[in-house]
Amino acid sequence: MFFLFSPWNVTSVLVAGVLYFVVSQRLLVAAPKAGTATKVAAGLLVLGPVADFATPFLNLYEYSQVLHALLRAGFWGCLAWAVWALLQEAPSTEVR
Amino acid sequence: MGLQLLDWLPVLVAAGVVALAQLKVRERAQTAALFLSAGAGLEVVWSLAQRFVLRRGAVASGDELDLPLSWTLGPLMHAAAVGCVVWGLVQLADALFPRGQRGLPALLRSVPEESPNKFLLGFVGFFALAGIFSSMGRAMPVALAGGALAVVAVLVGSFFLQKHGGSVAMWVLERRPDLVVWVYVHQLKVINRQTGMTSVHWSTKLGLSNGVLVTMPGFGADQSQTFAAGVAEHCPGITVGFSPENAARFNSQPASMRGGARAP
Repeated sequence: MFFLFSPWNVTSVLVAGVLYFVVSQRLLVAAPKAGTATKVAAGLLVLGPVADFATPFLNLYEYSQVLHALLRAGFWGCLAWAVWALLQEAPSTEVR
Repeated sequence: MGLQLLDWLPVLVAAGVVALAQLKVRERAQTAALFLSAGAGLEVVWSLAQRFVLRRGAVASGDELDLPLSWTLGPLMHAAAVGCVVWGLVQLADALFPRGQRGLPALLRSVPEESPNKFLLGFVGFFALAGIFSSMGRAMPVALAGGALAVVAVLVGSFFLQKHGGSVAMWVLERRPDLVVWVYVHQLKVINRQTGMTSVHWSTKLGLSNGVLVTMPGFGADQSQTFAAGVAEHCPGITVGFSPENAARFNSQPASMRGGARAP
């Protein structure tokens, strides 16, 4: 109970909600892949609290640290993917 | 050894975001590059500080649990880092797709902007704070304050983003009107079977050539009709009105809706 509603988990779920319902909708119209990347990032953020909830039941104590490191890396990777997708979708500025 | 390497992975990826912002984004959007670098940089600096400066792990003394500073301030730092990156993404999208030379027609300018849903933000905030308080209690006031600050920061950031970012539909019409291929007025009638009360919700839907359907909430039938007429004026050649054939065509080949027949 302590870890399920910890400030870390509550903040992660709130940030994921903002990413999914506000930011991804905005990026989806600019560059669909950027919107998708933001949605995936939101999903990875939610998986952290889900893993914390599942840890006592599935005995994941040994893998918890690795799992959180991978989720965090994936989250930042998705944000980088969103930036890249926006750059790819934008009209070229080269003068022909 | 493997675990230690994996521990560094988020830091390396965040550092990659900084590099991407400086090498690729800065030449096209300086403000966006600044926010992206600041957000990802904060993540890197905070992770390094956790490892080398702040002590790790919780210390139990008697009945109280003395949480480390890194754990207490962590959510706030995470929220700040993500907030900066999100604002950088929004700024990047704005810079890469600037406003068109021709302005919006008067019909579109007359429609009031939608405001963020304050009730929803307050509702979510109440339960988030209640959840943190139930887990932290009075025994850990510093951790409680850190968590509450993080929650408030996320909610205020969300409000700011919605308020200053404007509606998605207006963004498309101002910056990428070439994407709009279909417009129709949508009416949703909700009947409460217990009370017998009926409420009607109006909105205007914009279909884009990439298959995305954007909703512009309306305050009534007249305003939605006005907005749809403004969109048809601003984006000539698009399909106007809803029909099952138009919906099927949009689902299969959205780009073909431009120059399509008008539905009755």
